[in-house]
Amino acid sequence: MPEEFIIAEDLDLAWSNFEPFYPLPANSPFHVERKGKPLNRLKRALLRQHRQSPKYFFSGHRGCGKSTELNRLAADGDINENFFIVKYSVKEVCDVNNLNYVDVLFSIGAQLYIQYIDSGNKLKPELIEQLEGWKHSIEKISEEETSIEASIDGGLRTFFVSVLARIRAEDTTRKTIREIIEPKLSDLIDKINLIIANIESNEKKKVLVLIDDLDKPRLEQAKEIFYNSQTAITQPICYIVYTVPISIFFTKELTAIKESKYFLPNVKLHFKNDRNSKDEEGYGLMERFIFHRMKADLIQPDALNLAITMGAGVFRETARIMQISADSAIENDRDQIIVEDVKRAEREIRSDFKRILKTQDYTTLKEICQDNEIHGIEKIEDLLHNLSVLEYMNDETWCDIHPTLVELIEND
Amino acid sequence: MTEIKDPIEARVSRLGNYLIRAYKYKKASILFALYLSEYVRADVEREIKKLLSEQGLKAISVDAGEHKDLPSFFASSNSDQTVFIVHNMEKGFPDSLRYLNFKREDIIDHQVKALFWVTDKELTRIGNEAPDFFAFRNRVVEFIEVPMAEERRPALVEFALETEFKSLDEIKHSIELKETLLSELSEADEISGYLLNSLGILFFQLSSYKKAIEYHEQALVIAKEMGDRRVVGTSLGNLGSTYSSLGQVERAIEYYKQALAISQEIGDRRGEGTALGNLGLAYGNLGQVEKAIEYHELALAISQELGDKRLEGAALGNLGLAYRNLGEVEKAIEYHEQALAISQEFGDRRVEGISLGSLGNAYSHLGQVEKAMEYYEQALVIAKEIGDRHNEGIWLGNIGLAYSDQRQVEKAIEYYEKALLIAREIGDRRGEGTSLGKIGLAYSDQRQVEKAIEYYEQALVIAREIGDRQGEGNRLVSLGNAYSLLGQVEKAIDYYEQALVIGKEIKDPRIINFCEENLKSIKS
Repeated sequence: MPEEFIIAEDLDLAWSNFEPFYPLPANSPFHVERKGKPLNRLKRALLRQHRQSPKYFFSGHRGCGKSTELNRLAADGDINENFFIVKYSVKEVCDVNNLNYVDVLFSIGAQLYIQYIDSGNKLKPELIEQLEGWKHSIEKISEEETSIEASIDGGLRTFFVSVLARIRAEDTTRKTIREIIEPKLSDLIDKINLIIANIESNEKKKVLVLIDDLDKPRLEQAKEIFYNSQTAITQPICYIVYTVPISIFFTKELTAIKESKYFLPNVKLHFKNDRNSKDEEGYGLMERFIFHRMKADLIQPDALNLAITMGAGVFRETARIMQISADSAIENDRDQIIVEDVKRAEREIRSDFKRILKTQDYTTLKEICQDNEIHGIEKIEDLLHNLSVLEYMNDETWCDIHPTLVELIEND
Repeated sequence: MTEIKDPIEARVSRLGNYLIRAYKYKKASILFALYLSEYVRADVEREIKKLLSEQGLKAISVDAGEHKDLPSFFASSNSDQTVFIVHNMEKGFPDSLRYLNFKREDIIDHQVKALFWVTDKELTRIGNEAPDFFAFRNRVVEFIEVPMAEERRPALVEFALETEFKSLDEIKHSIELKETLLSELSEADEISGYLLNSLGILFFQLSSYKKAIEYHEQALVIAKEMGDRRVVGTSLGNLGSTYSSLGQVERAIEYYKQALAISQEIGDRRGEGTALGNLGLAYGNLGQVEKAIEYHELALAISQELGDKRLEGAALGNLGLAYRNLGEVEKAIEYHEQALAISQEFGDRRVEGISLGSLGNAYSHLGQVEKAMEYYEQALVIAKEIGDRHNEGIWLGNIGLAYSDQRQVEKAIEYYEKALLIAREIGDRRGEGTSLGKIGLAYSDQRQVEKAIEYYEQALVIAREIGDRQGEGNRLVSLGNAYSLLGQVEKAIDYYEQALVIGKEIKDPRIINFCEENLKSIKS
């Protein structure tokens, strides 16, 4: 999409700059550097020597900048020097609505092949021959079983694309293709690893696969993939970074692989159990986030503070609050956002929460509001997803309720 | 948290400005407009379209029931100047929710400008079932107003009268909306009457009987002012049912009799049948079973005359109940089977479930516990199927009782706990108290008297809180029994005496006899 990055000098353009949708592309001037560069830890881990190619699990709250950070990692100079990078979003190549580990593994193989060939490279003839043989074995069964129209032989690339298309297709087609591949899974993994080995020997670089949006499937499917098929999805011999849904990130099933988990925390604005305290660094960061998009004199200092507080340290939420506030100021013929505008945004967001929270949620929120502790991850899965509960991290992980809800919960 | 609402024009232009700015900056736009009345929706939509066309934008109305894959539909018919105005969201659920959630980025990539009309219920479902899509929203703008013109009433009346909800959250939402609406209506009229009535019923469902009475009384006043005799009768009947739930049966009878007189006066046969049935139930509660049967027979006759199968099923079921109380269980079973046949013939699942459960009760009475269980299980399945949580709790409780009869006390407690949970979930305080009382009895059976007392006391607190005199009397009796078991005679006497006072007040022969006998035997 065509994007212009101009720091707004009026509220109209500010409104536009605070849209709550996109992850930022890698070199956007709107980007703000987080303290300690949260992905530097992951970057350092990737650059270290490993005996076996490691798999990393990466998570963070909805709207906290996961895709943005992943885009930046893929564009990083050191990473590019050391790796041949294959980055893709699973939602673009599979159907996140219905996804299993066979799809994920196949997409890795397909993307490795397609992206490598598309950037003008060649695999060695012996490997091509092997892949052709494997392709025929799959197509043969698939024709027998589905009487699909004889596929036009467009070579391997067409094969990968067409199988991916079938994985994305409606239920029966998808089921058939999975049933063909699944019993021959070791074949698939074998082929993936041959491609990886070939790329690595050609490029004299390791292969790094970055898979975005794996936090998007339905929770039960994500669990099926990450809990029950963990062995399978860690079989490819390349480096892989998987995004995972936040609500399974902290569960015991994923604690086994503790050292390879990376969490992109929300920006901390206050300290645990002290809602009146102020984390100056966090405020500073969010302030930069805002002032990268509009000029400072478009908002009063008090209003700025309130907007940051109510944004909970989540970029997308802060953007939405700023957008509503900007609109409110325009509506009232002001050229500066004042506290009243931010309060309107706060009220609206609180109303939105009131509509989706269930009665029993209030009990859980109250508990969290009181001691900032997580009492059983399973209870707060949905709450983490809808952002009514947010996780923060320093030495330990703690959480708090969304700041727009504090008034509601404390007076309940 | 009342908020001063901006004038409707300001909110219309707010939406317009978002869309026009999105066009100017080539951005996508995901807006929600919350509404209640189709008429208001039509007005607002017309105004927005006008605003948009002045800016050269073209609005397309989209029926979500016809295009479940909205993101694809948007992508295929989008242009820079297009704004999609989507309505009928619920028709596309649940498929449309999944498409929106998973393809939300397509909407952004194609710079689609869309405004979604949603009711409160629809927005709640979107927030919960398409959370990623909801996270992309720019804003929600509310248009919760009441249309004023007369011809616009029907939809609003329908909303005002709606009282069938499946969960506590839905009930609470509905109460909130209706109370807001009520406070906005400038003068008492037909609509406020309907709103008051349905608020009364909703609070009744939550066992907030005092609030229910308040609302029904207000509804009664308005109905009298407007001279609407039929509504006067309904309100009186509702007041009767509420007092009956509070164990104030005599008072309930007074109201039912007034309701009966009115229905006879205006020739409302159905209302007459309902009032007769209520009277029958009330006399049954007072232990005057023959009188109860007379009333139920009258109600039955009217239902047959009118050909009103629903009323007939109820009358037959009530007769079954009465005969069971007389100890004529076989006759009771006959009536319940007739009621069952009618409900099955006319597809009334609710009555079918109740009839099955009643058959379970009857067989349990006969000591045929296995047969009783079979019926309860069937009743349970139906209750779950139609989302009738209240009866689901009742059948679970009765299954518990059946286990308790078989001396399987632990199993019994398990089921009582399930019933307790449901009562709490749907805010049914009365049911909560009943379950607590049953759990107490079960512990007492296991000779864990102290634990039993804890439960009785909790149940007592609830009965007093909601003003349920009968429940209060029952709990006091249980407490008397418990202390008597512990050999604390003074305390036992005290509780029996308290219970006796209540028993006399509400003329409950069961409580009166029991307390008098026990007091006599303890004191001697």
